[in-house]
Amino acid sequence: MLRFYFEVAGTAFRRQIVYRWANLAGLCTNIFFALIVSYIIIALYAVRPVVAGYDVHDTLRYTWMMQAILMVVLPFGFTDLMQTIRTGDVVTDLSKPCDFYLYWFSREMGKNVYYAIFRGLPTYLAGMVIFKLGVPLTWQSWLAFGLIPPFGATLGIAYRFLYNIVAFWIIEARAVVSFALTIAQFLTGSFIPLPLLPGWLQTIVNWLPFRGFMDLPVQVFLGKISGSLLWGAFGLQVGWLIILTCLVLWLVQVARQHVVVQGG
Amino acid sequence: MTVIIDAQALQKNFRVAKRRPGIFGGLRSIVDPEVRIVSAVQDLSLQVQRGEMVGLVGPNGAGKSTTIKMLTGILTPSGGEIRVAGLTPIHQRRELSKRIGVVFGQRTQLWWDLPLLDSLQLLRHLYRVPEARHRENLKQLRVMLDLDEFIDTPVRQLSLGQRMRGDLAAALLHEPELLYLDEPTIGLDVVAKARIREFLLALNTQRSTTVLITTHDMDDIETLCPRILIIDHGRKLYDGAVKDIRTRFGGERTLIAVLDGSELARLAMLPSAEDGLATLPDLPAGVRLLKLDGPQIELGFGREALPAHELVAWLGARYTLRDVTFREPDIEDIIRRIYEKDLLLGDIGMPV
Ligand SMILES: Nc1ncnc2c1ncn2[C@@H]1O[C@H](COP(=O)(O)OP(=O)(O)O)[C@@H](O)[C@H]1O
Ligand SMILES: [Mg+2]
Repeated sequence: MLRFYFEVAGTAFRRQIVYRWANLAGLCTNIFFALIVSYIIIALYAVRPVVAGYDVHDTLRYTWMMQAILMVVLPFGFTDLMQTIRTGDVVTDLSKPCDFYLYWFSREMGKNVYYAIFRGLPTYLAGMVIFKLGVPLTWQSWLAFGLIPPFGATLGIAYRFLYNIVAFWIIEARAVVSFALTIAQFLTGSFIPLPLLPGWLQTIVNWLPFRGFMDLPVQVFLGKISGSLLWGAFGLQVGWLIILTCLVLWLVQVARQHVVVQGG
Repeated sequence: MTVIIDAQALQKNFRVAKRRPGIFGGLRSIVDPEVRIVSAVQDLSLQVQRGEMVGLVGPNGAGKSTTIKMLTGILTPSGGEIRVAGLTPIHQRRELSKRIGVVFGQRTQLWWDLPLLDSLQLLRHLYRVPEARHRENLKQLRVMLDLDEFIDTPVRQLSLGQRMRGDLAAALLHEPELLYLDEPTIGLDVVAKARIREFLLALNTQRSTTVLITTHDMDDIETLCPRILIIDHGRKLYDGAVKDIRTRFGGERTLIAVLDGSELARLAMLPSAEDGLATLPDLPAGVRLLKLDGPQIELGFGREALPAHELVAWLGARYTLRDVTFREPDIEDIIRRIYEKDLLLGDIGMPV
């Protein structure tokens, strides 16, 4: 059965390739957005050379890396699952002889791999060329970086699944999507880097699952967090991953019951 | 013969929440919902033998899809018993789904953006079909459904008929013993419909796959299904052979006679009734004149009124005939009459 899920991921990857022009447009948007933010950052740093341990170079790296993994972890406009609920196609998916969540998970993972390669990599490369961002040179950085983003991506999938599955019970589910995305963009640090937030807010945010989406992977990449602090934060995110996954599985169960009794 | 579908006294009620208008109404509906029960299927019993091809017929909202969903294990019945291929659908859904194929006419299980072949390949892994068997099955289906011309085309670019053929292939790659089709010909043009019917007949004869098909296209039924079930308002109105429907509920047959040209003058002299239509003097009881057009006469007569040959003799005794043909009542009209009048409601327990 594992083979099936890999094939699903592969199929989702190929499906994404069909949209290469859309991807190119998206890539330009990412780069454009990162550029604007970069110039704002540079202007702000003219006033003060270091903020919360981040100099201008760190913050630029943070910004570009965030832009690079944004589509992997928190893609805008993921409403695929919601649409199948609305059209009723979900009923056929639920009755396939495979696990419903793993099926969607594999689809999203396939997409994530595509976005990592064709969106993330070129975005960061653009940043490297324009702002001489460079890459970290310690092997610990790379090791931790290899470990944590997959977790972030997995959290991201659980999260997007959650804000889609509400469509089973809520008619105005699109409002939930916008709300979920706005909250997440703020709390993951894609508007303002989390390390630059006021201390009391950071304490709260550090306990939330959103930090593991992107901020933690990026901090690891920058080498800004390491040692016991890193493993503590990582453990917390694994905990969140377990909680969110259980929540997803439970909701799938409830939704299935709903479909089976109420016909969706 | 063995029974593959056995459903006894199936029942399905849906609870539909009514929404009250306005914000306060909306809030009140959350606290104190006003629920209406829709009875989609009532006391429906059905037995299908292996290898049969059965049509489930009824107007929109009759409960056809609901029935199919219960037989697939997608919906729990509110009452009654189901066994499909020896399994209980709702409890053994996964096991069952490996043994049945399902196509919902307005849905697709194909990947919209990718070539048809990609979806078909993926299904091999879903059903864990060994590679050699998958290849053999795919080869057969490619021929039977003529998939080759579009198997490498993205599904979104396929015509509805092509997509339906793709969906049929997808539903059949794991060689199910039973195929459910919910309105498979909906929206297709005549040629595409004919092609799908041809395929289903071949499938039924070559692989002896059992087929349960819902439709409101009577041509589907007439070409495909020796046996039909007519349901309306969730109730079974008829279960039996298509050919018996005509003899039992067949309404009027029509005799079309072309008279010799020499009779035209006499026909012109016929007295007219108030509605302008000419009347034939002393028609036998139960026979009426439907149309008089030049030398052509159409007479409608009930099956029980008199045998067809007597009517021909009667007419032949009065006019010189050139040609005589009969037209059987349209099955669609009969069925429409059945649901309009709930003709058979009292008849349900009758053996057919
Ligand atoms: N999920 C549902 N919730 C509430 N009512 C439903 C649901 N599904 C079907 N119905 C109702 O049940 C009846 C039968 O529907 P259906 O089985 O889809 O009919 P058909 O397929 O024959 O057109 C209809 O009155 C329909 O409105
Ligand atoms: Mg239907």
